[in-house]
Amino acid sequence: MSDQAVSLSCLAVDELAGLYVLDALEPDEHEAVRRHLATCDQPHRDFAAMGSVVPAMAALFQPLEAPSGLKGRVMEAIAMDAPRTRSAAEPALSPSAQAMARAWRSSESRSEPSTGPVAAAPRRRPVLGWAMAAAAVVLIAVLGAWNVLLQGQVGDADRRARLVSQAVAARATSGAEVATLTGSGSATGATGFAAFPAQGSGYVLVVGLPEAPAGRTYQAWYLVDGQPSSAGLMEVAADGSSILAIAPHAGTDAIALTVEPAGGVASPTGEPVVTGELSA
Amino acid sequence: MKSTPRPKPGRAKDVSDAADESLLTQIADGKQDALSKLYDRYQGLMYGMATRITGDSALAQDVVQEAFLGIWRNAARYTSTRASPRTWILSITHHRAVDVLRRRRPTTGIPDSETIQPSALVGPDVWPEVSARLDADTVRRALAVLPDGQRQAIELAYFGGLTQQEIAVRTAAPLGTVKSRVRLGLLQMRRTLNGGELAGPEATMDSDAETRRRGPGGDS
Repeated sequence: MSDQAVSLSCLAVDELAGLYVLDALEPDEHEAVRRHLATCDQPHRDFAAMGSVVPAMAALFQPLEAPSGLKGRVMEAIAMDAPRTRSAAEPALSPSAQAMARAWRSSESRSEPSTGPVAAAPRRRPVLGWAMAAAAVVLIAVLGAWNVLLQGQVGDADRRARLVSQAVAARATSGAEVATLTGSGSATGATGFAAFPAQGSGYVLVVGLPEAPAGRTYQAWYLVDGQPSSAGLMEVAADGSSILAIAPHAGTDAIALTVEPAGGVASPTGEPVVTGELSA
Repeated sequence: MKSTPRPKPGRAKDVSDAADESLLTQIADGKQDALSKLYDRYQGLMYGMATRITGDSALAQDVVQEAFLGIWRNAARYTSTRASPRTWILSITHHRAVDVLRRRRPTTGIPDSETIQPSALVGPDVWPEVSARLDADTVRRALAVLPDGQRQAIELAYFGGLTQQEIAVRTAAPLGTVKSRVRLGLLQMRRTLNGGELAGPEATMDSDAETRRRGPGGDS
């Protein structure tokens, strides 16, 4: 659309005001008007005049009680969305977030929202076995996009502090599934936990983590039946701590961290340096 | 819609506005329980609007969910609008409903502008917020006194989610005529509603006269 973006005169924009405030313009025109209004220093009073009628028209809709299951769905979607940075310019994200929410919903029991999705997973298999690593690529497409967003939060100190307190709170909720994480190899001495509360975002929190070598990064993985799929990259703060908010992922047995080339990889190339098995 | 007594002009904010604003502030801060409360307060209005526009319960539920995601993501930016929470929330819902509807049609969706503030609704005065509290009968009468063409164009757009082109096809009118009908109709409604009483036939005839003067498509 931007290729053929239309530039409109103030007069033309005013003439479109009525259709604009009713959401009735074609996409390209709507966008052209929006851009004009965003940059124009003219008052364009017609928009306020006509737009002011629209809230009144909302009175003509009959309220209708939403189906009882909808609230759970909405809150679930919100919880999935919770860890992301809710800033302005990321419209591209919502499809993956929704796909994620849908995937999660469809793979879990919908009947009782207070039952932990992860806790409900029946599988308990041996954890470590990278042999099948290549198999995880499908989910990368979804989870990768999801977690790229989450990375924005890491540099933000306030955000980070909030995440830590959320992670701790999540671990304490009843029904949460928790993994105690332990470092080995290059990360010997590192400890932490992964926590998936019954509802909402999960968290991975590790302390005592050495800085990743230059050009390398820590990457977290969900393990489902021993198969890894990326949970996102983990930046290490100056104090050796690292926190990641991650979407719950059905069937996850364990969480692991590896050291990977900067930017992360689709399947792990290194041995896990931090691992922990989930238990309710 | 519960009939709310019409507030005195100038009383732009009431107690429920203050409560809703507080909820939006908490939502901006990532408080999910605040969103839960907002859901309880608005689900009926939002679902009613979405059902009417989409004509489909499953789609309407998608609309409400998407609208709440929009609210969740953009609550921080609400404070910079001058619209009431109700106006802001319902404009997001309307936008999502129209979007969902158009996604199912061959023409592609409208821009994903849940993030766009309803700047058009942010008037320089308190009128939009007074307007938001007019009762349904008052608004219905203001619509009813419009010339048929104007009323129909506005209804097809707002309740039907149709675009200008679709309205033109549906009503067998040139694009320019659709544009001027919507424009004149809305301006007339504002005059009617703002006047505090229903305008007499003169006002209606005035806008008819303006339509005739401009002629079909004459303003495009």
